Amino acid sequence: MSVQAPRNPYHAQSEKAFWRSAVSEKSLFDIEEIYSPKFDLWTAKVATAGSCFAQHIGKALREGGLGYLDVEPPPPMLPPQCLGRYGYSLFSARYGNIYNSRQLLQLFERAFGIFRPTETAWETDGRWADPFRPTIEPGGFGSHDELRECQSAHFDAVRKLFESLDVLVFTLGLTETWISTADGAAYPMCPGTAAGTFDPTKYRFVNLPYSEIRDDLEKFIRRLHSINPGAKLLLTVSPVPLTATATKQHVISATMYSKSVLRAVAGDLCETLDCVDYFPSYELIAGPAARGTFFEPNMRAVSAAGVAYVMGKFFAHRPAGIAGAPAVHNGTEPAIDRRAFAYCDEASLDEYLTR
Amino acid sequence: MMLRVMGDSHVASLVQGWHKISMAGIKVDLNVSIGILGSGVYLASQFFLLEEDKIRWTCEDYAEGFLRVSGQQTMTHEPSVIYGLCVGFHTGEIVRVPAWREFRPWRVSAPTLVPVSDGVVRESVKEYSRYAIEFYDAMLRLEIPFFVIQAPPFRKEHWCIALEGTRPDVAIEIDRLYRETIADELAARGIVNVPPPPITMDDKGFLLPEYAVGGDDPHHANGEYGELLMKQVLEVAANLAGPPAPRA
Repeated sequence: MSVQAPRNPYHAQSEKAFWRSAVSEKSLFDIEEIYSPKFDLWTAKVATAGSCFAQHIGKALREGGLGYLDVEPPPPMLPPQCLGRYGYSLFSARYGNIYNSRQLLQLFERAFGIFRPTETAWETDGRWADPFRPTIEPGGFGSHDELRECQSAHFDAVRKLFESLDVLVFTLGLTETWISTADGAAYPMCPGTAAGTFDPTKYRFVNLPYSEIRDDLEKFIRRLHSINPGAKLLLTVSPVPLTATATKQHVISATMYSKSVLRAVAGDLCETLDCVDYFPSYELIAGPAARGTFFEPNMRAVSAAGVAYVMGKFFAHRPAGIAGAPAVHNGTEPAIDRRAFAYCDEASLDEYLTR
Repeated sequence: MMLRVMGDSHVASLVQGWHKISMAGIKVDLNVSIGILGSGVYLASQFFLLEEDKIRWTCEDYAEGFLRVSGQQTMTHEPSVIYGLCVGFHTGEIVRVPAWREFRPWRVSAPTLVPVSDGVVRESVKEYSRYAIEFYDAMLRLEIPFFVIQAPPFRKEHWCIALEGTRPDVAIEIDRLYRETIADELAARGIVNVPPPPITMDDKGFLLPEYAVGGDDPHHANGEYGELLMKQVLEVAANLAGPPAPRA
């Protein structure tokens, strides 16, 4: 007479639930079922925003034949080598790096006139910078009027983007940010770095906690749904570590804290809201299974191979017959430019390292 | 001292202008040799090579044009020769880009067009003019004395406005930014440039009709324009050449 082993919930779990079968006994490149799309991306109008890693995602989506939105395309007369420096073709609009939830929310609110920050331009030596995209014009704008004219056109484009997109792929990059003490306006860079002048009475450092990031994103989704009820959000977390922290922590601890909080918020929203999904680019690059393979020697920048690996997992779910399938090599990975350069404002903080 | 004036097709008006000056018997302390190198379209690609002590023309038209004007195959430093070059202000190539019917320089008020910054226009101009700028640098390296002559003001009759729908205010603003960009590049190198005579322009900056070539040419200036500009050219050349050597 055979005795049946006691049943428990793990018996019902598939191989992907067990580290040994899903990771230890597999090649990194054979890891499967790490992403199951919650909603259709393949026939949707898809937009990207976020930290510098979002540029890689946007490029892959654009080249992968998805319905990628670019509402601020470059003027054809601008030489190709200048596009990135002027913020063209990096994201779905020329908003530059949006590193955190507060910036995303305020971008929407500024574009729709809900939030009017007291500071909308910074002047230094006769050149003018947009505080919310301080590197969009190399060397700055020549006048306040020029900045305002280009900013106004940018907001037109952003409104059009939010009204027309089906899915926004948003890559959360940082929890650390600098805000205006006057009105809470969140800047992508500390004033006095890429642009502006630092004044401790006007600007303060904030390390956004879980609760505020979640509130920001929920508020953003409500605002987005007020003009585009069917819009969906695909969250990712950037695997790119902090260039520098403004906390007292070691930069490794600050990075792990930041990424952990972002990952937790993304997971929580994905679990609780039908309109939010999560794509695990962070885990694929920074998780132990990757053994650091996909970082460049500085252990910060993600290699082209890493980007290809991540996007291969993304495109693995494309249904057969959808047009514009990306070129494939090594079985599953889309062929991606070997250079994985991204325009990252935060990387410029490295200049302030003093030994 | 010899003044060699050469460049793109806009030199034609200077040739006519010089003829008028010569016929009028106006005394000039320079020996002048003047002629067209070739079409300005060749300026957008590599048209020369800098070799150890000379500039060799890789554009056949320019090589032939240079031979006609100078009697030489290559450009070298010659102690008694100064060049006036109508090279690098060929604004029409950028002004007539069809995208200027979707985009606009930010100063132009046209709500249906997308504004672009001065920086974007300047990058476009610098890219288009990179071989001309490299040519200036090559001449500087060989210590060949020269100055640059701007192309005539843009014409309202240009086909990009008259036939293709580019707004006149967009066209003239791009032309202005183009000239400003190249003038800045020249100034940064200490190179003098000769702008169009102000009297030949209307209040917007377009060439006045009385200075335009007639017929179906919507692009070039005429001999009256060339005469006015040539007088400026001679003045600049004389200043750069210094006082004439005393006669024995």
